[in-house]
Amino acid sequence: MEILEKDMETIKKVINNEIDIKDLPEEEVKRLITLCEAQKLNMEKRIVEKEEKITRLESEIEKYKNSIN
Amino acid sequence: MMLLYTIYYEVLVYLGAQTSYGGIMIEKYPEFYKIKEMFERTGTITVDEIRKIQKITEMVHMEKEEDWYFIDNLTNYLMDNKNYQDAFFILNNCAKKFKSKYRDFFGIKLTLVRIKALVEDKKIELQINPNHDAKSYDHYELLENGWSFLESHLESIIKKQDARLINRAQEVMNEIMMGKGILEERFGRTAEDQKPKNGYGEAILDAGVIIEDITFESGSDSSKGPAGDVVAETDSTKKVDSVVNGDGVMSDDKKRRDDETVVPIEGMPEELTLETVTEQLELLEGELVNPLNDVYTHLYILLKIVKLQYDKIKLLDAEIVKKREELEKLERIFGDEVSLAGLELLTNGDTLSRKKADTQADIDFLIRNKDEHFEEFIQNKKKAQEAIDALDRG
Repeated sequence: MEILEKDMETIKKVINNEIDIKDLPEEEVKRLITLCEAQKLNMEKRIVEKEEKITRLESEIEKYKNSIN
Repeated sequence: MMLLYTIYYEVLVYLGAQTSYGGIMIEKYPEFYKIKEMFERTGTITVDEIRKIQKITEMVHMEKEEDWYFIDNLTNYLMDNKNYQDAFFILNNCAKKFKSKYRDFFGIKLTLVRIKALVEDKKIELQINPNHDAKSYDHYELLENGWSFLESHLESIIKKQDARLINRAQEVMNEIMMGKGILEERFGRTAEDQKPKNGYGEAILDAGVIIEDITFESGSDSSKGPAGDVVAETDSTKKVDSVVNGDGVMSDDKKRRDDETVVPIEGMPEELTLETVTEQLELLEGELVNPLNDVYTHLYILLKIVKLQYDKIKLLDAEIVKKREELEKLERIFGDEVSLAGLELLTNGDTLSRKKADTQADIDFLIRNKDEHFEEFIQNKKKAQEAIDALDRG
């Protein structure tokens, strides 16, 4: 887990503009890419789940609105 | 303590609140079924509701298959949302309090929660029960010491000869095996072999590492991306906190940061909407697969994507909260049945002579502007119902 924590710190610094991506060694960049790709997949899954929740809620709302027709 | 317990027990018996095997009946807590019904209908639950379920499962005994089914689904939902702590507490309560037919199932699922938490490197607090001290095992201790327990739970379940229960238990065992595989891949099979075998690569992708609490802070200077583009132009007075697990449904629905602002990235509009974020994500996904990108550009684009995904999740959470509030409001309005005659009275108030088309247009108007006309709507509905009742009485 030490490797992961160190890489997370690096990512935070890149995002916060504390270090420039171009200053990182290529091997480290490749590791960060793997980490970020895993994160991207997770986030995509969570986004899909939330969109499905919204669809279900909208369907319930529609049922009530239709009940007066 | 024993005296207090005895008095408590006697009071319960007197009140007739006992199950056939001496526990408090779940029927005494209608709140449980209200939360269950809402969860099954919307697929969402609030933090407050989770706390109530936790409290109730701590106190009552349950027997019914539908209650087992609900707790199973609820804890799946909590685990999918990475809330292993609450899933653990609820399952732990049920493993002690549920009818014995289902208790073994919850015992197996407790191992699953702990394994999933280990895979995600999340620590969970284990309740310390003086009668059963649940040790905080690390991954290999959990798997080595817990395996015989799992096997005995499974044997017990099979003996119950309930196909649905057996199938579910088997599914949970399969998930445990998958988690076990990930942990072995990451940490090796024995306590001595602690180094990750291959470092990154597929082990990380399988484990689904999550970057927690990335804070996008303002910087005084803008930084350059690989192609000389501006990574982020920020105003030094602005600050954005982006919380990974900012799930508006799981957290307190009313908690919002008053000073929350959005940092524009490369010409992005200051105010993000779901539409603009989705568009930007699609554009970036297109850029990501460009074979001419070097590794630096690839990482740069990935980071932008992840940042936008965080923003999108926050926007979706806000939308979920809004929809829930709208649904609850509609439930209050349309909870009772209102006849067409009554609806015609909503806008007119004193006659049944309006044409249906006009009435429908008025109703549509009220629904579109329901927030503004909410009180008027409610008052008219009451008048309408009173008028209908009067007509019925002749």
